[in-house]
Amino acid sequence: MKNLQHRYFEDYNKNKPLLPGMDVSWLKDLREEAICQFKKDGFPDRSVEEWNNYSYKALTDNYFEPLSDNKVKINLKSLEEKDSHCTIRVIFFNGKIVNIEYNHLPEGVEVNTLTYFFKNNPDFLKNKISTANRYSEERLSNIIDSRPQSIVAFNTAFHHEGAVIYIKKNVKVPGYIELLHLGEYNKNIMQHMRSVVYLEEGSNCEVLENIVNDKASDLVFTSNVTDIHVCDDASLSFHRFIKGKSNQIHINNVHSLIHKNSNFFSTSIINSLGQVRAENRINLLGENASTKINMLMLGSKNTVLEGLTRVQHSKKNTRSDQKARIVLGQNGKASFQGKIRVNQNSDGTLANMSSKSLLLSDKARVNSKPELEILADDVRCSHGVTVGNLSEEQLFYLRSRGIPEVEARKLLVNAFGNTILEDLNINFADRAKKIMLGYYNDTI
Amino acid sequence: MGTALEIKDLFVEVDKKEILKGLSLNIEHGELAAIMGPNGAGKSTLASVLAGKEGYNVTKGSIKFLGKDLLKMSTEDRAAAGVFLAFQYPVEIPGVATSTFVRTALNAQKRNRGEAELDAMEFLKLAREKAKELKMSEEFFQRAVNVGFSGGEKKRAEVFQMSMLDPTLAILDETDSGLDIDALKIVAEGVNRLRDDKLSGIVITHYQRLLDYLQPDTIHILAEGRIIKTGDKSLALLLEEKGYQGIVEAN
Amino acid sequence: MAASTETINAVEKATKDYKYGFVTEIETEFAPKGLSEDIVKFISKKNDEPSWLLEWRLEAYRKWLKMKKDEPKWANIHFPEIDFQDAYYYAAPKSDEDKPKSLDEIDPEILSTYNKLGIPIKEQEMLAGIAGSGNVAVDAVFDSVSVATTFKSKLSELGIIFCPISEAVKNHPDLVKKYLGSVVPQTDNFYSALNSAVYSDGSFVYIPEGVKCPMDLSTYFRINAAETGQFERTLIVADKGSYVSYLEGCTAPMRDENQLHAAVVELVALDDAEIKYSTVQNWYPGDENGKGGIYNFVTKRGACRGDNSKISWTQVETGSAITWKYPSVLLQGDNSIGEFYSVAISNKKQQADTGTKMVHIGKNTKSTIISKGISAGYGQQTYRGLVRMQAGADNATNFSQCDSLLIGKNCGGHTVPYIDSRNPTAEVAHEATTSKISDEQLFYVQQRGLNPEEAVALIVNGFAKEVLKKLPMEFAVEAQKLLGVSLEGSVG
Repeated sequence: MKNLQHRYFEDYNKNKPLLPGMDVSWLKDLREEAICQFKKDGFPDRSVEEWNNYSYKALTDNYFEPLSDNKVKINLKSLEEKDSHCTIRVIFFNGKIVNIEYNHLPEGVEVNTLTYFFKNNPDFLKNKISTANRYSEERLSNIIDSRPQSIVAFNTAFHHEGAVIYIKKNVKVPGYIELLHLGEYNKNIMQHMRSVVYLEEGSNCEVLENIVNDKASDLVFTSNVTDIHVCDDASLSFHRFIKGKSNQIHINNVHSLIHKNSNFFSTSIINSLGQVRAENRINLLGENASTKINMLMLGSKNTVLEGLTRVQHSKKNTRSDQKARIVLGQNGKASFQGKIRVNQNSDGTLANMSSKSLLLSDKARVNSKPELEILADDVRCSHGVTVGNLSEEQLFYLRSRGIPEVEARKLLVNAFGNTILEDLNINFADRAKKIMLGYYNDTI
Repeated sequence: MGTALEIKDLFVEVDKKEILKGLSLNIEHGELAAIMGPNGAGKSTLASVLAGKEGYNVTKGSIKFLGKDLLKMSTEDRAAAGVFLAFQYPVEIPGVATSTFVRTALNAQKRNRGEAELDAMEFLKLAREKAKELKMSEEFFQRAVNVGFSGGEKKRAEVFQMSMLDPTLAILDETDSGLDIDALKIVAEGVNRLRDDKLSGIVITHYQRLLDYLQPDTIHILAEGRIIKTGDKSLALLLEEKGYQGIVEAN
Repeated sequence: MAASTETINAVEKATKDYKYGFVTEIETEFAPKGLSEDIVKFISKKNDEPSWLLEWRLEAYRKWLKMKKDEPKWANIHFPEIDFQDAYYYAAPKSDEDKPKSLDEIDPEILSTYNKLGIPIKEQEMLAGIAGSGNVAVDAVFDSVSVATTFKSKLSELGIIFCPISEAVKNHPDLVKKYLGSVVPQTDNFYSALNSAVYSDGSFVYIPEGVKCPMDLSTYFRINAAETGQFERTLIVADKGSYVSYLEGCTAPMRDENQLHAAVVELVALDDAEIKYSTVQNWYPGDENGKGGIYNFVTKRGACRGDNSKISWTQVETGSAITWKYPSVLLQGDNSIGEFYSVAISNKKQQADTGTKMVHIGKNTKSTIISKGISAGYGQQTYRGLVRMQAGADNATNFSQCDSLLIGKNCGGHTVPYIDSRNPTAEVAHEATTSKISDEQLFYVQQRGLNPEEAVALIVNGFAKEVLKKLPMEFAVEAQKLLGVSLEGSVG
């Protein structure tokens, strides 16, 4: 592995001139710092607490070529038209933005490529793209460990494309903005995408990051990091639908800073045949800020799905609600690691977390770790976890009313997932339902 | 008339413990039979065996329903054939709306019998009708099955399901437990409304009270795993007077 | 207080017969500072151990050396690095000359705690390590020889073995060899490896097939326990169909010079056997600034090796500057049951990272975890627990409830449950809440006439009730008082 770290470090030095924004001094410094950190820490292994559930052997046993162009072209015309609720669609193909579609760009909304911003408005992005260390956790033991964030450092060094969504003061964006990620890969390559979402005071926006199953003949590693800033009195929904093929490793990090009276809502629906890790690190920085984090992981043959949330309550009267639902068939594996951290003096915090898992097969495996870390006394926090199979009682009740067993199972699995889907608004609900439907038709 | 249900010399074990020990019982079409008996006599076991719950091991005997061997049928096939169990403790199913549930059940049964399914509108019309008869508000269609229902609401929801599914054999397992007198009346009226010469019924209860409203045709006393006495209404009165012990001893 | 008097009587009664077993003649001697193979050999020689045990210790030592670079860092605790070469691993008990001569020389704060707990003067002297106090207890025994004989003969009649593990090595080598390290392997963790290499002594209990031990076995009965070893080793084996309840520790704060404690406790329950292990830990927590307290890094684990066996851990943890322990159960036998009931308090600058591991291996196994954490002052309290359902654990169930209570602005209460399930028929349910004592509650109780400290004690006892009621009767009464005492100064 040491060799691999070193090789990527050399790759970085070799490819430096190809990376966008190297003429922007703060960005250059950021990348250099990040690659040094990655060189030091390497890929997190299982001695790192947050990474100890499952191995990421595919990452450490293989070399992935950075910044590779595999010359595959996309025929935009062959794509399905954008959804009627979708106002703006940004299409990524093989790690490059190939099109930004909209019928009419609403006033006060800027959506463009990262490269465009680096060229034309680099100051805007300063401090909006942050080092991985900014999200490293303070621990009671005073040991600051940068290793859990090593992949973010890797991304920070190598990111070469991404979208910037900038919503101006008091603008309410109609419909939603979709970041559609497509790909067709024919060799071992990696892609590092970095996006920024910035909402000014009083604005409103919904974003869907839609990572569609890619065509890949070889192992592919993709990393998406999104830095999110929600200013006072604003509201952002940032949902992720993640699909993938069995030879795909996808690591997705969302880092959000939520200010006073603001709200952040995120739903992640993960239904990949490969290995996926979706992280959500949220800091409620202003009073009355609130967040709702939902995750639905649907796993089947050979999948390894991991969800991780870290919600920090840093000011008074902040609220958070986390729900994770895991359904696993065949020999699927999944984990949920959630954490509520209430910093000192963040009185009036209300925080909830619930994690429920369904194991539908005797080869499936689930790990769940819902943590509370409470340093203020005037708080109400709770969490609940259950793991089990479908209830025999419920199955019998349904069957005694004449519903055949397979249908009864689907109904119950659907009800289980519905607790996540029913929180979604009309813009996304149908799309989410389709994913769910596809999953249980294949699995049950 | 003719025999709807014929139970012959039934022996049932639960967790290797023998609960039913040679129970025999015949029920005619259109007959409403009450089964009374002390705690632990095997009343709820009988209900579960009829509906086909797992974990009930029939070691001997037979059950014929409408000429078919009930014991060979799956739970859902029994339901489609017309067996309806009103549960003593209806289970909660979070996330499944009551209307979705009943419609799924009804159409599954129809499909099973080779009948045409109801579309959403037809179903809603029927459901509204039945809810109105039972003085239930439609608001409960959207509530998850039995979740957060009071004891009375759960029992009423069971009777609602029964009227929607239109069974030929209804088994009411202690439907009166946990009900106040007003709720009891509504439930009993609901059941009475469904009575016709096609519907056979088994009412399992501890108390005379429900029988005052339902007026069963026959009364059976179940004790120590079998029917020890069969009679008409007067048997219930005798029971009030002498208690189970008195009757067990006399037999 | 009656219960304590009884206990001390029992100690007095028991001592006579254990005279040769427990109060061994030890020369006043120190091994040199630091840890090496020679020190391990020295300790083994001092205990006059057979060669297999020396080899076992050396093996552990060599493994420990390898583990040293990976000294665990994951716990939610903060302490300066321990210099393992700057400590004594073998020190004979202090001679009377070094001991305090009377209670007048003891820290008045400790004395006032003794009084609040209602501990008799004699027992206070013993706990505080007053010169000659051990002899007092031994002398007293002469007056009641017959009673003591009854006690001892009752156990031996039943075939129960209860003696120091060093003695068991000599008299019951087959039993010790068979079970020592069979639940907590040498290399289980850093501190268990250290313990395996240098453990000084500890208790050994064997309950033969079909025997229900007629009395609670307590470390109190062992006079040596007053000189609590730094590296204790306890091994309890309950043979088929037997039952034993074992009590460890006491409610009075122990005066102890050793900073690091790394004990290992192993329990083995065979078919249909039951072991109930209760602990009250109240070692010196350090002063207001966290100076001088004890580091308590213990490995406690039970194996429900037989079908239908049961192991139950109950603990009240109020002492030590740092507590780091996870009494665990390996549920190997079908239908076996594991239980963990815990109350832990962190006040002042105390830190506790404690919880349990329930590893379900057999079918129909069942575990229950009830943990109540209370933080006050600058205390940090972490519940850390693992529930694992192995692939073969069909129909296994676990229920966990972890509640934290916070008193004050500067403390912390944390919950870290790990759930790992590989069996679809197994069910795991975990619930946790964090709350504080509300001003309304305090006001209400005070309005009825209690002072703030009494009010807090009352509310905390209510909070911890589910666990306290699992303790043996006399322990429970003392533990209740202890909760109040431990929280002194946390309000107002």
